[in-house]
Amino acid sequence: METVMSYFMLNPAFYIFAGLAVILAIFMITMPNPVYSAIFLVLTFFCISVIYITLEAEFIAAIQVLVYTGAIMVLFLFVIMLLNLGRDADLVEHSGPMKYISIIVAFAILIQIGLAAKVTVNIGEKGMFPIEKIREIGNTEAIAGLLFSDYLYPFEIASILLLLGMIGAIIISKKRSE
Amino acid sequence: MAVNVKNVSMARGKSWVDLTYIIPVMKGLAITLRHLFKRKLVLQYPEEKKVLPPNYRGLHMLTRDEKGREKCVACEMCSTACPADCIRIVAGDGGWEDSREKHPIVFEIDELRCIYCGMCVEACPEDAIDMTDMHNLADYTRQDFIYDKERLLGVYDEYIKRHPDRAKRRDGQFKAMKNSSYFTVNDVHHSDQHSSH
Amino acid sequence: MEALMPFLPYIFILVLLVLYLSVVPIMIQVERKVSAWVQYRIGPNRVGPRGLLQPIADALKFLAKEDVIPNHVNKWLYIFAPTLMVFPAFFVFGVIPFGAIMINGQEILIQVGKTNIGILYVLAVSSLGVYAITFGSWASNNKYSLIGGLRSAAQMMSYELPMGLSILGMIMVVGSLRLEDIVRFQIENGWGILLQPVGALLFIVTAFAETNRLPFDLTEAEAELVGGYHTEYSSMKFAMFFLGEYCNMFTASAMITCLFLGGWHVPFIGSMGLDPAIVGYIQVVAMLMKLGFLMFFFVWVRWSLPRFRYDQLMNLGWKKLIPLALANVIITAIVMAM
Repeated sequence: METVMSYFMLNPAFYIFAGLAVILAIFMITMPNPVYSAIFLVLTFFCISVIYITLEAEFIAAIQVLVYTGAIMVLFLFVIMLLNLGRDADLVEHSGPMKYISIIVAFAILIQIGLAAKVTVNIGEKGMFPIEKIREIGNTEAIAGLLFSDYLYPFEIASILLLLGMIGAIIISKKRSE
Repeated sequence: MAVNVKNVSMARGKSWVDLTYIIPVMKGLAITLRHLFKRKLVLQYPEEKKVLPPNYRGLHMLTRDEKGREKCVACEMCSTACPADCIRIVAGDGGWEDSREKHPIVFEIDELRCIYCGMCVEACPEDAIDMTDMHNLADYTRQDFIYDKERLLGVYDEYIKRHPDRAKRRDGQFKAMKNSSYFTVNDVHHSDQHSSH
Repeated sequence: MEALMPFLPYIFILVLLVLYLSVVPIMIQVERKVSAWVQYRIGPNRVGPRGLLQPIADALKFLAKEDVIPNHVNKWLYIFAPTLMVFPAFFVFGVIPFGAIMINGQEILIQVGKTNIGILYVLAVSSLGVYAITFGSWASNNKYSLIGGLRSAAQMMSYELPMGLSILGMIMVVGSLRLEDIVRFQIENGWGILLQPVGALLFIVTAFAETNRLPFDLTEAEAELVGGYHTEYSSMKFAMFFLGEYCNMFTASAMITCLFLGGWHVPFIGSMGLDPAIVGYIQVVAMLMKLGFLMFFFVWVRWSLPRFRYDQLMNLGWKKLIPLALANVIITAIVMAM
């Protein structure tokens, strides 16, 4: 428990970027213009990757930026710009009572997360890879070791799933061109 | 079909080494590298100027005779020959005491209309109009590009100041031609033609 | 010297920043001179001795020019985009090792940020460069700009894949993502261009595509798109795009040097019996010379090769470079397993 708490105490960067991420996420969902939303989502991803770095999970931080920010969001922007969703009115939601129910549900989930976090901090049980061990063997090596031993099947299944998606995309585009 | 279409296939007659484009790209790079060190073909304009050929067709001038008057006799052959219609001449009495029947009171060339073809020079029977090698004209208004008689004579003065040899030579040439049988034979020939009609 | 030790990272930051900022004017001058010489011209020679002060004149001109913000643009993004162009290039530069010098018998790496994910960091941050162009083109609200921006997004996405795969072979051989480890491996086992010739070639080609340099400058293709994504930009904002382009070039050169040209390594210098302190400095100079050559190479290629057509570009990226890079990875794996 002490290690976790003291770690957070020593890292003002975590609080700064966590707060920024929340603010930017709020901006993202309130912006009327989809391109602005995309920009704020990119910035949110960036803040989250900085949080990963403060947690010394450098590999995930880099992959977060590389995959989400560098590739997926560019594609999103691509689509938004090509479809030209310029009309602001389309994006204002008129959902009535659903809005209030969703707010209540959201708060319920938030409280739940808070409780769960409190319990975990109190237990403070160390997993297989505490920060000291990761520092010793290196971030990327630790992930690679697990991915190619214990989690080999999920890893392979995920890659086959991606391959299927790729083949599907090729088939769809082939059909259209004929 | 009038146009000869040539189908160029990339793959034809090329080995796979060529198709990777590595060697062709290297060859191209070698060519540009060679050019990098070759002699440069540029003149540094205000300091270095290109030597223009003597028959360069630039700004016009009105030449002067021995007494310093314009040679022009206002025959309007130049303005008739001019395809751009940029020469305006108003003729006036030359006075018999000077043995000149006519001379131009107004002689204007619009240098912006002019296409610098040199037809006026060809047409002139007195060798009164000629072209210089001045080509870097600059002014502030279009009106300033209409050169009047005094300015054109001034161009001549400036020209012979810069090329005294050239002015003398062309003057001598003209005199020699005038005294030779060339003109007279031609004149006789013309009058013969006229009389025969 | 001893007192300076704690401040060493800050000194490195300062030195590298100065180096980085001075590279851009030098490169602009080199580009103009080389382009002139290739075409039998002399190039800028009016400002200062032999035209050497031309970059300063250019910079002053950019600063003094009227900063036009057209009425039809999206103002915030229009201003934001050029600043975004420079920052990824600057970020990447932090992890590049420039050499190892001996201070007080202790080897010190000239490198600002020491991460154990070196190359991944470089790939991640350099993939952000596309945003500047996309935002700039969209904010300009101009059809040419938008086409340029979309082309750039598609191009950079397509060429990031073969770029990553071409590095993968080298990473497998070395077994580390740290750039300094890769350089040290090359010092012991020979340069990367000899160990991974196909990987090196692919990386150089994709580096040209990622920096939007000819023959892959489809984003600005003057003949088709006026100016591409920077059509509507003027003054210092336009200059920022140029700054970004040259910074990206420098970063790409540094990556090529570290991955495939042995970083700061000078062949046979170990057998000359020189003082290790002097060797360290010679190697830093060697690194800079390699960088200089690659920068010249970028310019040289630009004035030699014509621009690709867009479908040719995509064909090359997806149908040739990616299969080739995958084959390279597989062959490397098989050779290593044997």
